[in-house]
Amino acid sequence: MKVKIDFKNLFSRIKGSFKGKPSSLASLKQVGRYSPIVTRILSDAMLFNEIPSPTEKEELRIEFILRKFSEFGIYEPYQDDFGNVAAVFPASRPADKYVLLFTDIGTEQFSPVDSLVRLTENRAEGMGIADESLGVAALLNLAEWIQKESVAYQMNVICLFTNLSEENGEFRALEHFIHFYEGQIAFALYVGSINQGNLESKPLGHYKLAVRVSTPEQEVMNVLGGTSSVTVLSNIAFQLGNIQWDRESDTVLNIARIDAGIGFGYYPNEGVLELEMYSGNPSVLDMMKNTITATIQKIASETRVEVEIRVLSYIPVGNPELNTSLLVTLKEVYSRLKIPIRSVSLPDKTAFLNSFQIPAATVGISVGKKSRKEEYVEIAPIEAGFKQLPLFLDLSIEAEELKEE
Amino acid sequence: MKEISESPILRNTFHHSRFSDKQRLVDLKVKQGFTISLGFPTLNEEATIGKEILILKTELMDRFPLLDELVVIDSGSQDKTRAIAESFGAKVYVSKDILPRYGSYRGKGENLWKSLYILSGDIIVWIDADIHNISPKFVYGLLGPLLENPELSYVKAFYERPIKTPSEFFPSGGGRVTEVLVRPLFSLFFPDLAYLVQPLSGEYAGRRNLLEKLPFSVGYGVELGHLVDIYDLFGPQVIAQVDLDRRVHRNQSVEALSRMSFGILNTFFQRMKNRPEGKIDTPLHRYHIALKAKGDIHEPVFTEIPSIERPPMVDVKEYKEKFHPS
Repeated sequence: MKVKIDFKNLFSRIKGSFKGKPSSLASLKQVGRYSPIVTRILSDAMLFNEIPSPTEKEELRIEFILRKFSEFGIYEPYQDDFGNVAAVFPASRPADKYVLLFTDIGTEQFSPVDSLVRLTENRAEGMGIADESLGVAALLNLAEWIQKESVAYQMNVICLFTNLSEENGEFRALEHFIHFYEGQIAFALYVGSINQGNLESKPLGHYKLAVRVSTPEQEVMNVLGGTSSVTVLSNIAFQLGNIQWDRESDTVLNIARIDAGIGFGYYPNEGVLELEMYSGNPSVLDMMKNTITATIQKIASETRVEVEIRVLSYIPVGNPELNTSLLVTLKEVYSRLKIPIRSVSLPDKTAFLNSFQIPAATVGISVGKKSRKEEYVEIAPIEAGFKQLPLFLDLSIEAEELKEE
Repeated sequence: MKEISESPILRNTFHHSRFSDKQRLVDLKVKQGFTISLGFPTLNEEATIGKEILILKTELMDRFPLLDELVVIDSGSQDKTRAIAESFGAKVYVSKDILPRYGSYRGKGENLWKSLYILSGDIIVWIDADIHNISPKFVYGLLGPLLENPELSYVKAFYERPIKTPSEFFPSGGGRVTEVLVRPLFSLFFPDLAYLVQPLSGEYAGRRNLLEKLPFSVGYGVELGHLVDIYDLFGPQVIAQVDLDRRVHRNQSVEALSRMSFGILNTFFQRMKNRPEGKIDTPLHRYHIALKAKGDIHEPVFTEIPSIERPPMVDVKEYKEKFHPS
């Protein structure tokens, strides 16, 4: 069932059933080894993780979220054609400002076998669980808790399930959603699965480029030789590797992948090179991208081969000053929940929201690992990880006052 | 050949999605005053038991109170099955400690028989503990027909059972023992039961007042024994089956399936003793015989597969005192 309604009207429909209690986690009492909130989050995370992705507009995963909303009593959620689904909860008193909590429902890591989650005493293991099934489940449970307990905060709350897969380096679904609320979102918090306690003090910008090379087809035994894609890509990688970048702005180039040819007996006339660029300075990042693009084109021209350069992913450099009050509040949240803080400087997709003048950061629900060989989340930190969300919402009005100061 | 309308089992064949409104099932349960128990027979299931308990307990006890209890009956696992089950909130019993006066045998049927004494519900659901893709539909799908229709008393699951490889699933064409052994047997002797898609599926639910009247084969033959006995005692119209889409579990070797088939055949012939069409005058041999290649020689391997029959629970004194004191 696809419900499509005017977003501005949604608010009043939910408001009708709202009692506006102050927030409290007292109703979530510990029973047995893990509290009900932890088992609910894990249960939802495992069931969600096993839904295939990507599918057309992530319809299968959206169907799961809508069914959960219906079970929670959220009957007319926001849904659009970009793959966004959201529940919006009104503040305890009429308020103009919104706190946006959002997460990514898609994954590129799905495998019919390896995405079946295995649960040990301490961990949930399976491809996709850290990307971002646990985050999705935590946000679902926040929505369930707010709805069932009739909790209200001093600002309106949006729980958004979006699709952060990129098209040419743009987050189209999120951008579409943000336009509805231009100027009204006070803070945005991305709910991720792992990296609990990370504090992005200086979010780096990031470009990921794919360089495709095609050389003329030849017989593999052609004694006259010629330029193969392997030769060209190696040359590009070698020349780019010799360029010195600005260390002060944490500027780094990573040659992530070289893949050429289809195997023995065939001339390697096609290949691809993937490059990742990081920098903490927006102008250096752009200069870096331009330099690299020009270098590749020069080599292509000299060797007379065709190259195609495509942006696979782009994350702008974050704005630490804009995020100051948000980070101060998050520090307070971590401190109250005794979550160890790790100050990090990494690319963060939430920096995309900084360009809309929205302070934004990422919180992780647990700790874990995400690699090609293994992926897991720890169970024990999930309770504190979840409690970050309502505690942040409790403190968000103070963060707003701090921001205005 | 029977049309759908003539086969009671095909008439009572459903898809789980029909019962996906969990709140409606809870309302039906409350209205009829039923209690429902979920039992897991286990033996070395540490890889999957935690996930099964967590998901089913969360969705069907915590969020929707469809189940009143969730119990693990363990056959003496050597791994962490019992510890994991307890840590995720299940009540755990060891099979041999239940009704010790009656001794103990190894086998799933023994576990199920003893669990009838432990579980308190009016409706019992049994779910195998080796399911990798467990979800609430495995339970509510089986309960739905019983809560909707008082004429039904026993519901079996069926599903696609793919062969799992390191990276993919391949359709298996159904359970191998079902297709090469049980379906031909049912077609010959109990054609009404041949309309079951997976007569050997390990997930089923039944009303206590039916289950307590059934003898239980302690080993591999428990599912087949149930079906034949229900057919004889109550008729095929009390049996339903529900499509649960897909069940991912570990695939057994052909050697293991051969031993399983031996146990099933044993149970089958015990049921046929008093039937003219299946009368066998001489005793059957006791051992399953397999051949193991050792160089140029084939060495026979003899395995004794228990074919003990437990009596209907309603005939057990302690059970009568507990559930039928009057």
